[in-house]
Amino acid sequence: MQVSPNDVYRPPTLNETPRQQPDKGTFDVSDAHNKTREMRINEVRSELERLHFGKALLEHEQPKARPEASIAQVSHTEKGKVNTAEFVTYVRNIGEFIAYERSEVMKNGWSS
Amino acid sequence: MAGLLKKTLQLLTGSENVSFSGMFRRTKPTERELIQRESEIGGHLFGAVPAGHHRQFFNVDPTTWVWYEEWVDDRGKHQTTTTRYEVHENGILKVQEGAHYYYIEGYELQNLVSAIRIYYERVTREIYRRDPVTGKHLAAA
Repeated sequence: MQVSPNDVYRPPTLNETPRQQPDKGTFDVSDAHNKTREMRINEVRSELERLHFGKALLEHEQPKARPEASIAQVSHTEKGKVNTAEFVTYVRNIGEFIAYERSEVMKNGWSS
Repeated sequence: MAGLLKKTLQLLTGSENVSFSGMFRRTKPTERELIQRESEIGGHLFGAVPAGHHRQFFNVDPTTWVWYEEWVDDRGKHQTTTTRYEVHENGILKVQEGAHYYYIEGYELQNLVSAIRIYYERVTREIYRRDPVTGKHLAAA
């Protein structure tokens, strides 16, 4: 569950400080700031991994499945247009495999 | 000279069967060298290259493809054009100098994807010596 500082903190009234809010208990604003920052970092990291800029790509590990030799599996929408999202995935898979092949040869040399 | 080199290599390796091509293939190429080799294949995927033109089409990284073409025009002036295709979540963006950026679609998209597919199949077979479907090494010719 995501927690933002606003969930547990409301600005103090003129007569109280944040630590005096009885219904929320004691609360250190710096902790909330750090937690929010950590969550944000994790979100960004997840997003980067989702966009294929994560560990697997940076280290050029072998992707799990090779792109199909045929693009016949790319479907068409009702209007007959090609499914761009499938093309994008397909092209990116190819790019990852080429990066992998390059890195293997650069690391190990040509196999005879 | 070649004979002397071969004898030297035989002396160093202790083998009678010294293959120059085999030795050179065991070297570790740079990424630039690999892209250069790939681009030679890529340059011929879009049909015949007009006389006097030099065309390259290659993959830069998993989300970037480049079409580069150079030629000398009727007035003898050297011309070049570079088109970059960027793979984004929502499509493939075509980027050209001095032109509007736009996401390609329709036949342009299908043709590009077909070219990329053939590029992948050919460089995998002809340069990296692997079966593009299974990933297995191809038997040495």
